[in-house]
Amino acid sequence: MLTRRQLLAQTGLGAGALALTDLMSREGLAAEQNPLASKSQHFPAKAKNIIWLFMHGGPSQVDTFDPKPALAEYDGKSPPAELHELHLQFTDVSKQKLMASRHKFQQFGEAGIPMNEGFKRLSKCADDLAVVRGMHHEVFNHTPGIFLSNTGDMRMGRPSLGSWLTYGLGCETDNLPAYVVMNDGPLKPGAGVWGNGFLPVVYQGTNINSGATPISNLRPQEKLSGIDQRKTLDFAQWLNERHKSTRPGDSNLDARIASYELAFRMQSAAPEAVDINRESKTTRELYGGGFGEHCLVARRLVERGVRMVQIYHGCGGGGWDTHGDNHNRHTKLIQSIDQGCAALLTDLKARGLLDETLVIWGGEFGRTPSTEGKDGRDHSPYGFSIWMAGGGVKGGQIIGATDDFGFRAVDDKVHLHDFHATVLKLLGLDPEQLTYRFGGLDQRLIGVEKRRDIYDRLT
Amino acid sequence: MIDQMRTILLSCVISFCFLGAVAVGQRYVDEVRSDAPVLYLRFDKLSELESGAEEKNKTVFDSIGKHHGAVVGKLTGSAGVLGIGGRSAKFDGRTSVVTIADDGTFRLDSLTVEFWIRTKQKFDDSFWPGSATFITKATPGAGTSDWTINAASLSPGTDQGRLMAESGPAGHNDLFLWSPENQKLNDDRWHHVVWTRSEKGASQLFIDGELASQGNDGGGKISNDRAIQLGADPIHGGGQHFAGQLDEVAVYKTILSAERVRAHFSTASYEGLLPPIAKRQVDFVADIQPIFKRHCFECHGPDSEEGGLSLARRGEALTGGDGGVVIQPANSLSSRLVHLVAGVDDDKQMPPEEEKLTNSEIGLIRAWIDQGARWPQTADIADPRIAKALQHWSYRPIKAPSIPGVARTKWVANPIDAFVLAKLEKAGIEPPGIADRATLLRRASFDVIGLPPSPDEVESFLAESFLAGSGDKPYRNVVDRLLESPHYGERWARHWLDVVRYGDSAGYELDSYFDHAWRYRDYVIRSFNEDKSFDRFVHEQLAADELWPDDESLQYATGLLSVGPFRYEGGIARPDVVQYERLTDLTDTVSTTFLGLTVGCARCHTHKYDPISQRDYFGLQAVFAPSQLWDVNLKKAPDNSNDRKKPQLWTIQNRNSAPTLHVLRRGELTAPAGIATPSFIRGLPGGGPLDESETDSFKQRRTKFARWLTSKNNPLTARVLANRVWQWHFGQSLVPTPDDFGLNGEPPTHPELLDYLATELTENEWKLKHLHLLIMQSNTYKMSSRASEKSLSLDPNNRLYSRFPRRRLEAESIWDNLHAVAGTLNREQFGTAVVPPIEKSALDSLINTNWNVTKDEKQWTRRGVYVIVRRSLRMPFFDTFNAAEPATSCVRRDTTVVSPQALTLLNGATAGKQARQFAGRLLRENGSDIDSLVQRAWLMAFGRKVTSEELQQSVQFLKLRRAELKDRKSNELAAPLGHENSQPALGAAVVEFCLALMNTNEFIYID
Repeated sequence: MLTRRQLLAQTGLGAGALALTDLMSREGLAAEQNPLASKSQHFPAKAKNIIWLFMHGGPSQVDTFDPKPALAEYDGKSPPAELHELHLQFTDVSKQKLMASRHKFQQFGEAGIPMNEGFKRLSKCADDLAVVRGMHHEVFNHTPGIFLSNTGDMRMGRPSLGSWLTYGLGCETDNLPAYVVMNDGPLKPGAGVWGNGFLPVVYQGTNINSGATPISNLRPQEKLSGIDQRKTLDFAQWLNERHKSTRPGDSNLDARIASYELAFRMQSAAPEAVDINRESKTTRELYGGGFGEHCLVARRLVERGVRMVQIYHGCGGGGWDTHGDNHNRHTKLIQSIDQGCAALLTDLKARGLLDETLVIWGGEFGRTPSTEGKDGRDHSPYGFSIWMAGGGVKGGQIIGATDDFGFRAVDDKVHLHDFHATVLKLLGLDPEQLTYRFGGLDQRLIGVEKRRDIYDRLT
Repeated sequence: MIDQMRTILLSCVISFCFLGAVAVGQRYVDEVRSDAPVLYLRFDKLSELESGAEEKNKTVFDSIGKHHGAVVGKLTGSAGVLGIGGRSAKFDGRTSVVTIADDGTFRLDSLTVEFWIRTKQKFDDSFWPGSATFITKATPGAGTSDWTINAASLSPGTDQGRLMAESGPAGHNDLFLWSPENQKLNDDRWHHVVWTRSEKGASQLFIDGELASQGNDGGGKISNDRAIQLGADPIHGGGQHFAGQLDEVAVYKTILSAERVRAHFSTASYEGLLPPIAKRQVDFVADIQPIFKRHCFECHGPDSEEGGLSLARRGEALTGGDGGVVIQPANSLSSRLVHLVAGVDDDKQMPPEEEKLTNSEIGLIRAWIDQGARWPQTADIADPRIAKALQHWSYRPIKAPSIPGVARTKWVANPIDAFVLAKLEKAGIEPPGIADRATLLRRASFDVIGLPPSPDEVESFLAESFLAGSGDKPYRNVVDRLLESPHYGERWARHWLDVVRYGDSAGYELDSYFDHAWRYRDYVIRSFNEDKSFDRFVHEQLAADELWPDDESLQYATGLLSVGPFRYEGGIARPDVVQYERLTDLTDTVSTTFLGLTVGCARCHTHKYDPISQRDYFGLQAVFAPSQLWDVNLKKAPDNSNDRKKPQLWTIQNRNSAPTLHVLRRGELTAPAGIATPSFIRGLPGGGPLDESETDSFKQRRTKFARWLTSKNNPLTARVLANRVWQWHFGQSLVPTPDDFGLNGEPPTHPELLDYLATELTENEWKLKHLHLLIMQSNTYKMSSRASEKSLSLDPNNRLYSRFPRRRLEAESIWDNLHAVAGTLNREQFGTAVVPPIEKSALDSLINTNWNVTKDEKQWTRRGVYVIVRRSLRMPFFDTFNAAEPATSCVRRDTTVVSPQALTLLNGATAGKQARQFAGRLLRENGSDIDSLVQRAWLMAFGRKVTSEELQQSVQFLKLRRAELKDRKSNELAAPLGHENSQPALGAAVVEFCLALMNTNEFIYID
């Protein structure tokens, strides 16, 4: 076989095509032409990357991180009248009965963080967790709730947090997408959740799967498997160079030439990045299968400079959406994520990556402390828990509180917009300065109103 | 300790106010007591008790006897009836109920029920069981010995704001007495209600002291042993909870006479509360305006209208604010303005913080109002924002500009060139030469029909041009041919579909398919093809159902209003939320589409830059409020019970009545702030409230709106359209912010040129083809895209058009180009959306996959405009190449370059297949002579002749690759399609060659 260089020499394509190789190098492409070039923050960042473990369906706060003894006392009684005005998707609060968690809680770590004792492994990381119990918003259906959690707007078509981050910060890698999403099944709202909205498409999330073609079109389709892609590409690039040479001053032409070389490199870099067989047996066993595998891939991706990884757990089937059989299902759900969460935190810490990687756990909302049907819980956005770890977050603390029954956030309330503002700040971005002009407005992730972040409490 | 102190202090303050109020209202209480009620709930002690956590404390006290009411749910104290004072009970509309147990006292067949209400709740539910219950002693069934007084609407779905008193004597028909149709009781004011009924069945209903209705129910027993219930109906459950205030509830064993009713009502007036009226003739300019300026203008001045109220101009001041009318000429007693400045309403005082008005100032205002509130026109203080806005370029009338003089007159083919050249000469840049003929043909072809010229078209155009010398005839012929092509409509419809946020499905979780969307898309294509006057096109899209209800060809023209995103999920549906989202989508889309304005900001607050207030915004929503989606198959408005998984076939129809819309504080549905009247933006020429004086005026709102858009004095629509047409020809617009012609947008680079084009448009029957021809015959359009050094340094962003803007093809054009060059483009027109196969991984992200690939494979290569636009899953090929996001109006395609685009064209199934088709076509049409194959390939892929160097390199590439692939087994080689292949190695080399051409910049960039 001829080497690439030999082919170039023989076909006389040499000079132009070789010049390309230089052009392709990261330095060769001016920052203003590369929308993903690493950009400077508004102020020093606590975290560089994010791994967001998204519990699709909405985990129950009172069965995970926000135990409520009062529920046991009032088990089976009607919720107090002032809660009757809350809107829920499927049920009417006035017709519900309060329902105690059937799970046992213990306090873990030096800080004594209360957790469902089903978190056998994660409980050992209790001192790394900052549990935020006062999360709330007002959207009680999955689809708009998931949009809101990701884009700050319950309507479809707005840019997601990951898109805003890559728009604001760029990316540390050329060979991989800046914002990667993994999921264990289809999401209720579809792929628009990681959409770029009105931001350029370059900031869109990339949905990857494991295997040889983690990204769409990463391998030539079967019928073209016989072609020599590099030679085809070199011929095209020779034509592109000629075309460009008579059209000076058009950076788009340069950018497109470069994009082909980036794509070419991505073809080998992406499968490598998601190939967990390159990890030691010990590491693979630490993470376990299923959700754990996604966590391991996430670690590999942030290690390689990916800005944000989002893992959706509980998609497709009922997942965390426990309208029935809440207790048994939460036992199983907790079991299915416990190892992955714990392994991720432990492994990131061992590799010195936890300081620069913000790990977030949570769903689009929480669940009612009261019954739906016999033993289910309906959606409730009025007070729910998430936790954050790493990325400059001080662990071993609880921020905010819900009422005695865990229905509504009452102290140190954190609205979804406040949460977004907090995350941006942790990444070194000023939530009010991160804007993009669209529809005659300087659009922001956090909306028009001033937000109250919990940056100071967290760090 | 300090907290305790504060509590004590506070309670002192409260009791003080309380005592004062009781004194004021004592006359009313005395009147009531003199008629010896058997129950009298004043709710004055409520505030002390509502905070008590203990259930037993939740009681409202009967001020006459011991019939205290038990409170269920949340009941709060609130300001009582003005003029009576004290407190009232505020019902939350969800949980609050007050029950007075039956002990025999209220088993009355002859009685009077009296109370006061104040509410903003919608009264739009059917007349029984109604929208909300005020007070009832109900039993199940008709004629079952009971009575009730509730809020209702005789026309379900319409907020009539009416009250209904019912008596149901045993064995007779129920009698319903209604409050007058023209008197809305849910206007957030206090209203006095008295209902009487004699044993013989004579019933009377009094509203605000006046007899409103009377009748006879036939007589007999209406008493029963049920509890009296306030705020909800015990029989019909929680759906009819009252949201608002109730006060001074009294029940009498006697029948109050009309005189007594009037006496009760009149003693409740505010007279005792207000400062006395000044006893002299008052002059507005000398006496009143200075008071307004000093105390009110900071928030309600010439350029500020908090709460929607300005006191700077007569018209607006008398119209009132979000809360309604504040000045009632000749009636200072009832004027809200007087109440507010006097601070008699204990939840609100004006001004809120600044210095209060003195009694003598209030007395002057009262005198001014009572003397007729005369306000000379000359005393109006103009809104500086409107003045400023009207100076803003886009709000000024369009004026045909004079053509500027230039030095290089030879370059000027028509006025367009003069406008462009004048600026270039001023900048010292020489315009470039005319593009070469092949470039010109390819440019025009992609521009007008979105397809590449065929090799024959290229060759004959080059030959004719050669023969014609410098003559323009061959080019003109090409332009005419292209404009007459049926493909023109397909190309230009796609531009329009971006702007109107076209989609073939509803989006969100269920993402139901639209069966009407493609019919609208076809209508748009046909409209462009027949060069329909654009003003007519606007009228059809906004109001075809109102204007031409019987024209079947226009049945789906209003698709603009029905192809937007639409949210539906399972569970408890909130029709009000769904309706609000729909109106928001329509208002925002239509404003961007036709006016080039961002009105969306004004949904939550008055616009910071443009003269668009919240009232203007909701005034626009009100224009669309009577319209509803109409399910053609089911012949009814789609609701939550419909099977949303089936494709929806919707049109637009007006309802039978206009729903009442409210201005919403912060844009929140839960914060209504006064009725929104249908209006066009007041600060724009021809704007203001609609004349709704005729019967069924509401059925013409969209018609009036469409006519306003295209009227002579509306300067925006024609400018916005002219700008779009220019942008679609040049890839960049004259107004750099095509979605914002307002004060915060950028001004046009060539304002006179824009007005010239807008004038050409409106003076030529709004015909787009007239503009196309004009633009395409200019040298500005025909010039070369090659940049000179001077052009690059002096005009780096090409704002001056110192070169033709090179541009990348849009997603659909890349798709069309791939198929056209490969010879596989199916040029069939119209019909249902085509669903081509896509990669499985893309479908993995969907819950309801529902991607039913079109069976006929030939359909898969239809033009991009016919390919499905599914909201929850955009075609990955299109999405990657920056197709429009159909959630909102897209006025400009983004053209960012990203590596997934490279992967799509290099590895993707569509590109791979079309490369093999292209190879097959070349071999089939040329045989295996490599030289002619390359020449032909160039004509097809790039619309020009190959250069000798390109030819040489291509031949060398093909020969080398043929040699390298010679020994491979044929099943290891990429095979051309549609060609019997005797030389597999050559075939594979040609596939690589074709794939390379399709991946070049030249393939998707147009010079």
